[in-house]
Amino acid sequence: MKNENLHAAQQAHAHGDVSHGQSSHGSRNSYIIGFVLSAILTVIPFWLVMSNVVSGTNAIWMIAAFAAAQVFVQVYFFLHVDFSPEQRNTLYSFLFTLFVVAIVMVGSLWIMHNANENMMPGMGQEMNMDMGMGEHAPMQMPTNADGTPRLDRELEGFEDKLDLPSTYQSPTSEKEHSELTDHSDMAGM
Amino acid sequence: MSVTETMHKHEVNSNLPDDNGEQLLPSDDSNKGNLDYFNHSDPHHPDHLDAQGNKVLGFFVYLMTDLVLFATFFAAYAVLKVGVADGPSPKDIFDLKFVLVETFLLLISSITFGFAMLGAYQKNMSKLKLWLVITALFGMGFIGMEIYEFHHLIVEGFGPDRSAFLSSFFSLVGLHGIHVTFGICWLLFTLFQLNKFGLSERMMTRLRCLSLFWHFLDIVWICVFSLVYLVGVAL
Repeated sequence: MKNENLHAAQQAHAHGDVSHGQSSHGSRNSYIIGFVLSAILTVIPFWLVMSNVVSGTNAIWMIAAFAAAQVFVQVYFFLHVDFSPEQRNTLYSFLFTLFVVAIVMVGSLWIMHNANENMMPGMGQEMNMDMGMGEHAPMQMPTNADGTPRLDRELEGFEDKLDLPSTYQSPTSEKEHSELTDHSDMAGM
Repeated sequence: MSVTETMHKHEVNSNLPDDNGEQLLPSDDSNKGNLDYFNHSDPHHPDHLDAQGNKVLGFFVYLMTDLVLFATFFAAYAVLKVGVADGPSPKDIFDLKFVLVETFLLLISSITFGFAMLGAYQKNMSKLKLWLVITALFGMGFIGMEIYEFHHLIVEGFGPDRSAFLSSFFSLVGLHGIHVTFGICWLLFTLFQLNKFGLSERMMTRLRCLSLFWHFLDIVWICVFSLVYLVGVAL
């Protein structure tokens, strides 16, 4: 009986389908299927981009969808993470890590997008500001006729972006300011 | 020589309880197989196989932390991508056909490592070594192309000091390249160990960890290829 079992095990070994449980390693066919699927999922988005079929935000979503599909194909066929009981721990740690990765990615983009919107008035979403490499790209500054930088131009209109009380007097609008001071004695009306 | 034979015999024996266990107790308890190993295996190291399985799981958890590290680099790249500082944008410097060849080198190396592992499970040493060497060569081809790409960019003045976009690009792709380089060193070291120790149980565990590492790097590269190169050119 024991010899029979031993013989069976050796035969199984020769066919390469039993060692540490079926699910922990694939067969030749599963590797080839995984490879072919990966190749297809690589070439399609490459072709979409090269032939300019898609562009802009649609392109990002399509490329990301193909990438996600290929990640799951490779995790299943190459890493052999599946729904079998032996792989439960690996599956859970993988899913939890995906959750953490989503927080890191979405959170970073969300925070930095809001920071760009709110902290850099006038720059909008374009963050083409110079990152300290002055010699390559000097920032265009508004200048006076004599070439000196006009710093007041940058300040002009900044009050609109702030939530100021209605009694606030703008230091840059001299005319209004003088008019108001002229009528200051009539404030009681 | 006799040591190797003993190890081999032990491994063949140790597979028996697994087969029996699968047939007798088809339960969903993941520790079931290990308990069977405990009852049947060599008295000198009763929970040996359990420890080997735990090592692979532990290595998988390490890879997951590595994935979080890569995610932070991806996030930094996604945020800094627009900071081109009037320098080149992704569209100007990426050669997609070149990168597609890189991608396929790594993808092919992934499947050749799969064939190597099949050889290992079949206890076919020459098949295992042949596929491992082929895998290492594809990996070296990938790294060679990446070094060429980086060198080309730096010579043109588009090094990591040029803009925030290029800093984050070099960090992300370089981090992956360092991982692959380390993987190739590990692979060559494993070949050396295979010559010295043969296909012992411990070597099987090391091979399983290395194969996880290698496939994991291929998966990360898919994300680099899609989210950095393809998106960069498509926008």
